[in-house]
Amino acid sequence: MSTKSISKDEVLHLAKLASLTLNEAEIEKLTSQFGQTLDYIQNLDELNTKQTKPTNSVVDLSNVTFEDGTPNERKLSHEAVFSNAKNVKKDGFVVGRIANQ
Amino acid sequence: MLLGKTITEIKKLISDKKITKDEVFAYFAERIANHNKTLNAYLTVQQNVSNQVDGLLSGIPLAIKDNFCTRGVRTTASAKVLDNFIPPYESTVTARLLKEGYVLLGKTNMDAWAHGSSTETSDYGPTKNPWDITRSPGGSSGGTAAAVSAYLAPAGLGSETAGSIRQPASWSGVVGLKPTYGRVPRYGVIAMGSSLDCPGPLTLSTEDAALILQVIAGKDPFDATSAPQQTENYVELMKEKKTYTIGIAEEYMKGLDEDVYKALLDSIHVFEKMGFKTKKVSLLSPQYAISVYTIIQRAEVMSNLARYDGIRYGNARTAFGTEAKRRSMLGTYTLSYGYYDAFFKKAQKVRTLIIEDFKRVFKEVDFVIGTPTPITALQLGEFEKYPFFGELMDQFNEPGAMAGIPGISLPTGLDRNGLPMSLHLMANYFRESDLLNAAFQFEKETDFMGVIKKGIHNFK
Amino acid sequence: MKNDTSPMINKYEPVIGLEIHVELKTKSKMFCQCSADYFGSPPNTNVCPVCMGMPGALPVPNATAIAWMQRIGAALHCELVTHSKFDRKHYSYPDLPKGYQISQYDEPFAVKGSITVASPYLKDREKTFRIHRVHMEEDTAKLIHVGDDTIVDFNRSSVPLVEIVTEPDFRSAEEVKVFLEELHTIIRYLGVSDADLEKGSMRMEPNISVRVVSQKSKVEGTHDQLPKYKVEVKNINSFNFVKRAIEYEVRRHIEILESGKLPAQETRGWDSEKGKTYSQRTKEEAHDYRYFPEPDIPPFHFSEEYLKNIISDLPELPSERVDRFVKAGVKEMDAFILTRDVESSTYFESVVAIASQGGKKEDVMGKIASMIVNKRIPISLSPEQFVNEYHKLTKPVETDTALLRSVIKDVIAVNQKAVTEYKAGKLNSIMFLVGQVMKQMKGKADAQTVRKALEGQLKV
Repeated sequence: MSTKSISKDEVLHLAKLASLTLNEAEIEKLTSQFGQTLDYIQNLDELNTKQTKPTNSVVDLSNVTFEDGTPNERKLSHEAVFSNAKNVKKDGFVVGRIANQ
Repeated sequence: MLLGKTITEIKKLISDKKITKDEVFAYFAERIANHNKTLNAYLTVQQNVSNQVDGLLSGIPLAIKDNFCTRGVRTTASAKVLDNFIPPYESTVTARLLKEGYVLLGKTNMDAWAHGSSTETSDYGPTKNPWDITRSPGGSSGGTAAAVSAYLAPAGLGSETAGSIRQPASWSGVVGLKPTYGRVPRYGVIAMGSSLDCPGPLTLSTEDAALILQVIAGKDPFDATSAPQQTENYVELMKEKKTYTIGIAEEYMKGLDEDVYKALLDSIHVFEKMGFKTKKVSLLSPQYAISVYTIIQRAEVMSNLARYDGIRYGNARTAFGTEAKRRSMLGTYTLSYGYYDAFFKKAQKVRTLIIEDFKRVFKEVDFVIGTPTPITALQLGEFEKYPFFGELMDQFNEPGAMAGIPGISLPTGLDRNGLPMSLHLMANYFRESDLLNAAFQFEKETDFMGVIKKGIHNFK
Repeated sequence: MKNDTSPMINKYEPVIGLEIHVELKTKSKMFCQCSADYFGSPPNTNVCPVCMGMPGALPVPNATAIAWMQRIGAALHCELVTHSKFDRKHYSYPDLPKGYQISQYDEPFAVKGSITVASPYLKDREKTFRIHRVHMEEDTAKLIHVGDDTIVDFNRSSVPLVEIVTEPDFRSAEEVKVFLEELHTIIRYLGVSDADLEKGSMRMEPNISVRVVSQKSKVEGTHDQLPKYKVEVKNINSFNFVKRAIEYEVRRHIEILESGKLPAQETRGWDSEKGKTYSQRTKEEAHDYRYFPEPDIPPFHFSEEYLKNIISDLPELPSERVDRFVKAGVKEMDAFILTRDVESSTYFESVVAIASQGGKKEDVMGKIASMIVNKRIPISLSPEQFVNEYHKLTKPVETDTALLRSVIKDVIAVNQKAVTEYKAGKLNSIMFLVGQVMKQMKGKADAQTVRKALEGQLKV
């Protein structure tokens, strides 16, 4: 039904890039749904945007900054830093083994 | 005696010493205890909270969507990945509410990560529509909409990326306001679509919506996209007698359920009776905004979910639901090397076209009228059948969302199945006071066809 | 591996480009108000929701960091752009809390610069190296090994980082070393960073390849193609190590090329103990960073006037200071040495200011420079004390003219060979005679006076 399709390999590659794991059922479902979505969004080709600039933000703002040295109202206490972590060691967050570092 | 009282009315009761703050809180706590099991509107309910601060919302308890970080109170965005997350910081919006004396009733259910239009993608089960518990209340702010509709809270906060306030307001029969992007700051709101997310109120009256907006709007040094424009006294401004010109775009009147359509036409007559003018206008078909929204939102979603690695907080990425994965992956695809120009950049260009389209139309009219959703509440489980899930459902919201313009959803009556219908008015940037003004007049004139007054009795 | 590769070295030439990261010593971090002075702090004591990438946190850029970044661009003679923005760069690694780094992709703050390094260590004494771009980004967290575990410390996360990318203009390890040292000095002169290699506030990564020197390259106007591979070398924390790592790599590449193969395009680490590079398996694959414009940060527009001011506000740069010293009579080599760090040149100028009181700076600068460089007077002295010693050393010595006449007579009598040579035209021989006289005079003579007297006596 969809003219645009995506292969299972591509789906797996995308999952890897996005650091996600999929089970078989999800791979099947997503592969077919992807095609349908890609089909639909082709409708943008109907519009001529050759002379159009892309909009990165709808706010009419520029040069928004903060002043260096502004007091830090949001500094986290020692407790707060680790309050949601599962694995803490020597005041650091434990990650899986990293090779070659 | 409290049943159905608006914030404005409760405030008066408290200040007239007819009821205490604690009694108010206890009242809603009891209603939640009685009915939340059925509705599943709240994920986390507060006990024994009070706020001594005196302000615009003294003693007013509110339902807060679970994507607002509330310090010390569990915040999950209805996602298992954040199952036990307790933020050690407060979102700007809820901090402002606290400063005005509000009390947190509880955190409400939503589509997980705000990915959805029915609250069915929640990792904690769907919320039921108080009008018919076999149906969805809408989404993603379905929990707040249901809570307010069933009077398990006098009002609440939701957030809209493209329809997530107005559509559940519509399906649940309450008032929903989506402010201009940047009007209300996003610091502390779990990000879904960074260039789209707008926190906003769901209420039982337009005045309540104006009051909450007044408290939460305004520039925030912690949010670089928050608007520097002065906020207004929305409550005052809405009561000045004004008439406006309403634009009617055929593109926004297509494919509506016949009851919804008739109620919309009736409402237009009401506005005309009140002295408003109407004018035919033409806008780009919403079908393009669907594509623009799909591409840009999913890219931002992919990016905003990248931080959840379970190291500093939350659970591992294996806990993501299918919808979150689906959106992340499409976002990855459209940003991928080789595809960026064809998809993301193209979408950003069409976004420009949409913005200019609205700018052009708002030179001629004050509002564009329509409905935030072409149908009334779907049965739970029906969404699965639609391939595009929320996108097609939200087509009338997506163009406005891409442009960042404000909109308000108002009940217009009940359909043949006794389900709420609505209209929405869209306006130009920072015209919230005008939206509220027109809405207030509509409310005074129609009392929302009795929808809200009836709705609060759905759950005794 | 063969160490003697002279014929090989003539056949091949290195093609090297550099990537340098400079941590700015602003007070606050790049996108939040946490202190940027993190070095030495206990782990995770310098963090907030923003630099820890917590849900709902938003970045707001540090104004000074951007201004300093532009200052660096100006000092490198770059074009400072009028329009710029931040972008999200996505990859997954535990030291990257948001799952993306806020960086700059296609609109960096500064592009297309160059610096001309004049160094006695360069083959042609002076060479111009082009800068491709300079952009702003945030630093990552630090990974620390604790036994079998790796832990993450977020103190460094989001510290302002400037990335400088050069064109592949370097043709030898020495050129790289000389360039990096000059860059280091420039950065220190600007006062924007400590640029401490050991502490990691300046990091450098050479991208190295080797190509056959074709005959064509000897002809002006034509240039060879860039080699089809390049090797990035990391983990180098001194200028000497940069030189050695490059020399090692160049030899390694030549060997591979000579065997008919192409060196693998990869990232390698420098092992300073073994004096070798080793292959790093991590981050090896071509990355798909899925860049898109940072939606949380509005773009930047700078007026021409603002940019002009950045350039005119630059302090005197090292090369300019060298020129100024040389013009004032300082030997080129002395000027170079004295300007290698701000402290030395400041000290020098303090001394000169005192010593030249009542007179002209140019009269004393050369001498004082020489004395400092040759360590005739220690610089541990205060400038006042230094000048005292200087006066002592340069005071003309009283010459005992009577004694001088008799000593000269003796010296001439005993050193007929030198006298004959001098008279025959070997004018330098007088220096030997001056030395002999000075020795016998035991400090009671001024060298100039002695020389004049001798010349007088030896006139035929």
